[in-house]
Amino acid sequence: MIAIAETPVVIGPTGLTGIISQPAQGRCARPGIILVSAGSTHRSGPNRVYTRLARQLAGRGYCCCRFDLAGIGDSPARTGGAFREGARHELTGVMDTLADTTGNDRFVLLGLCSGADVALDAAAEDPGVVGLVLINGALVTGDRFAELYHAAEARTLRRLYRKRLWSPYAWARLLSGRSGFWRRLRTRAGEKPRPRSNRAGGGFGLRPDSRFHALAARGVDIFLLYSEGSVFRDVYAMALKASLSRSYPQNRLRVATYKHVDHTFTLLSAQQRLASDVLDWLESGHDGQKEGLK
Amino acid sequence: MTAPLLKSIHPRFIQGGRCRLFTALWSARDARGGVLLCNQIGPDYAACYKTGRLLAAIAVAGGWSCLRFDYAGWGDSEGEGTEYSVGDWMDDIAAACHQLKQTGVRKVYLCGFGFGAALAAKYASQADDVSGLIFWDPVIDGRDYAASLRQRRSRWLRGSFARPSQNDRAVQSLGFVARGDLAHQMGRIRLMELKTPPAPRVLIVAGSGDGQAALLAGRLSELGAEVAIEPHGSDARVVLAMRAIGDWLNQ
Repeated sequence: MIAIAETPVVIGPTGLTGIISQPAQGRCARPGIILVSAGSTHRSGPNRVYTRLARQLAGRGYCCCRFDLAGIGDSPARTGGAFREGARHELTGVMDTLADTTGNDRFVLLGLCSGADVALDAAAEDPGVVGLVLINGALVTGDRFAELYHAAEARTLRRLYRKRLWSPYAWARLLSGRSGFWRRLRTRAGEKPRPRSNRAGGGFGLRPDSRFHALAARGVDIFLLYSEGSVFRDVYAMALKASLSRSYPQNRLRVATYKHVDHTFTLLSAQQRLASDVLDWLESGHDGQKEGLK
Repeated sequence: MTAPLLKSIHPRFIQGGRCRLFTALWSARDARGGVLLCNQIGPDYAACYKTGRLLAAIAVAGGWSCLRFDYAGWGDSEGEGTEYSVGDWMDDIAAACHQLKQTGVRKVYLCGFGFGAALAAKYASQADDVSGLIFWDPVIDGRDYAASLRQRRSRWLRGSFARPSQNDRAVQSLGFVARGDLAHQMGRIRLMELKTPPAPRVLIVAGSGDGQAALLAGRLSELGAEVAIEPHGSDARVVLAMRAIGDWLNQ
């Protein structure tokens, strides 16, 4: 690890707030890394995961920017337009700022949850993006996404219930009527039947969209990460896995699944594993610069 | 109201007690005074971040400059929670207060959220330069709060896929790492045991029906502080409570 410096920045005409972490001395020769806001959490990320990740990456020679999308954290609200479209423009502004500040013109975008979807949108359109780290993102769109989500959620819940079969505490709550299981059962009883969760993604009319085609054509490296506790792991399994393995160049796609980890990487040990895997992926050449990085 | 604010935000790092702290300043022109936001700690830190931003907007619109900062080891400030104590965070509040005064304001109010309110009260009771305090859902007894954090963590773990390692067990509470003796240090902060009023004026913003907040108000009144209580509840009530804070500041 090398010494790092952090500088707050106000980005673009809308005045987004961000922090650039970079090596204290020397130029950043590697691609700039941009951490895209996760959900409504400000730039530190859920459980401070972005702050820790940015510092570790900077300590290995990368220039990183974590920032607040409009309306999140310290950034002003967007004055109009849809979230995804606005966020994509804001991300372009962040890339421009990082390019001006550090001299980088190639970027890896990293996003958790909704940040992964924003990163995917921007990467499909911006030729400066050479790599993507997408953590627990939905990554599919379509009219029937809500149906898919419900089915995926049911799969996630079944996995949780299987895990809790061996928990005396869970049995005590179930038998005493305090378990969330009963509430869910009551809620479901009043709803119309949902699609069965073992339907293939194609059954929902969802498949990798044009964003992935654009990325494949440009040779963008993608690292998909899913944690056991995220419903998007099941969305991936049901709607993306088979088709991506057919349509995306396999030498440019890496997929990792984390056992015993929740959606937002709450525990420090999970964050440490995440940082280690992202660094390993970056340094094995999956950052748009295939040689001379190790 | 939002657009002019954007231009006036100044994020920067300042030197805190033992490391550099992230600060964001919203300046008001010819400010009547300054409001220092003392964040919550623990798992509710992120949840109250937006509240602080909205409160800053209201304060600046009313002519008050506002400074937000992260304690050492939290948010964007340097270090990890395992390295710092409650005493260090007191020094951080002092450094942030000094930073706010550097903008030219003479009157300083502290606004604390949750355990940040307890820290603000502790700091104010030792300093003589705090004109008033705003407590938002204050932690009144640090022992109770430390115990509730432990309970929340075990409840969360029982319903989660996450499985902690030995290291996680030792230092962590729901995503945030802390010193092993932090619970003990927190337990020593009990607002009902204050012997002097921490500030001449105090506004307590708490859920309607929060009996503890009413008891605290009574205690601070006995000590000679001018105390007001503002309830909050649903989203709409939160906005009203924020407006009430703006009015209270300008009284």
